[in-house]
Amino acid sequence: MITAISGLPGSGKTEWIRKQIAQKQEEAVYFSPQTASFPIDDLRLQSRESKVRVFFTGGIEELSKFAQTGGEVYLELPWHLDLLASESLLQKLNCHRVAIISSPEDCFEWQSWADEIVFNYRPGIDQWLSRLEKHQLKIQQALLRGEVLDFASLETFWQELIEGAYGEVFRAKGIFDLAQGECIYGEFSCGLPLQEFESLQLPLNLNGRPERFSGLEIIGDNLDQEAIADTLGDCCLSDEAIFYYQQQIKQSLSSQEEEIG
Amino acid sequence: MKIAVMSCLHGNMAALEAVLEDISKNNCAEIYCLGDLVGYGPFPNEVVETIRELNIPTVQGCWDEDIVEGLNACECSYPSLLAEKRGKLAHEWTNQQIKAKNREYLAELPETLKVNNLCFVHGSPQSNHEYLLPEINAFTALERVLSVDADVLFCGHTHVPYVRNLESGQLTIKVNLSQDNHQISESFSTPLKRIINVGSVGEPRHGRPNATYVIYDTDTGAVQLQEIAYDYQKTAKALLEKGLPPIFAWRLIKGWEYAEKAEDPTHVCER
Repeated sequence: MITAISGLPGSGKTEWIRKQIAQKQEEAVYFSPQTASFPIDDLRLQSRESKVRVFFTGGIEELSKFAQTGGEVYLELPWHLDLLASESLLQKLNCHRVAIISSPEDCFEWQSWADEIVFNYRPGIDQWLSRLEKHQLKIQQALLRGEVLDFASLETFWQELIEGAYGEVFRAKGIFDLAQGECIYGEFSCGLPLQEFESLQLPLNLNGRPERFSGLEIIGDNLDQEAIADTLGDCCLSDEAIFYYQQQIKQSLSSQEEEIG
Repeated sequence: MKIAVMSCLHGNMAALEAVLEDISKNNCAEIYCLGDLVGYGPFPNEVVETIRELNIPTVQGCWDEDIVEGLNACECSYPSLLAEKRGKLAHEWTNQQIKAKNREYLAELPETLKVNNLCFVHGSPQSNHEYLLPEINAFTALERVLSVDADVLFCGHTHVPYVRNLESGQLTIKVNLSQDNHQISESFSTPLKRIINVGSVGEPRHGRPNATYVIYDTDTGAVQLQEIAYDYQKTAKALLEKGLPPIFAWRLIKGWEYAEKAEDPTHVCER
């Protein structure tokens, strides 16, 4: 079966999918259209749930084939995707449609589209729903591939960002490579308790600049793009600093191995 | 006798004026200043000139030292890369603005002032870059007070005020003599010692933009922490007008300090 999931940003779409997959024994496939160049949710889901196969590019026929063999396919539709434009695709795939909404008041808007409506109360969403409808909110993405960040600097930037130093932020999520070689995920949703950064289950990068994806996505109003970019740039390590930290980590890991051996 | 002790003015003239007015209202006989007259804030010359004209006994802060000697801080001055970049930017700006006579004044400031049983330092007696955080272990805290032979050590630098009483300090020294495995042991007690951190006038870090300083009664030992509201918007506006980074103004209004400080209370400055 193919399940298409839609809902507002921050409504908990990816988390709902993760819970569905975690409850089942079989492997499942996840695909989110138009996120190939910025696969934050894709990578985090892959890191948290070992039973998921993530399709980063749109092989619709492949998805259909997998579903026809009895496999579960989850199609997450990003909020900025035009649902009308994707209607023909959804019909062709004969998807089961799930809308994740925060309030029963939103039911009317979604009931013509969805086969199933899931309530997931998110207090912050109500605050900015009207602004979203008025198209006041902007989405800003910063690709950070190859950049390695100083964690203490990232923490400062993150705190400033979500407290409004660079404009009003309703939602922010990002994947960052750190000096220690690890990759972390950060998330903020207006109205929800602040979450700690989460380490992703990815191999340590200890050989030069990482080639994997990392980036930051912000949804907000009056965002100061230049200041955000400048501050992020100030959090990034130089080649010399990256080399130094990587040598330190390698040396430390080598000592640990010797002690165990 | 009531004395007023203030620290970390950081070129914030509006905050200094408000604090001086409050000190005057409270009839303090003397005023002491624990340094960091300059750095980050938009009025370094005005603050130095005010302190000098009022003849306020002042010790040298880490920012004052850096403006005189150039940046030479150990890692404890910059807890992050971002803080380092912002700190260096503020240093360069202040370095360009400061007048020669004010730089000379900062150069002549002592690192420690001792008045009877009171000692005044910026960071710690060991270094004006060292943070005496409230969580620092009791042994280190007591050692810092004993090292200057004082009962009360006034410090700043952390920008968060606190009073710490070090009661019934018991120190035991054991020396092992290798020849006959003989051990010599000696112990002694110290009377009540105190560390009083007076917070920050110009760059608070307690979550509100208000200036803080301390009024101390030398007769009773009573400590009065003063939190003074002032026109911080005036300082924020001046920061922008003088071309300093807008994030400084934003952090000042939040009461977050211009840049974050080291959070490791166990770190002992090695500079």
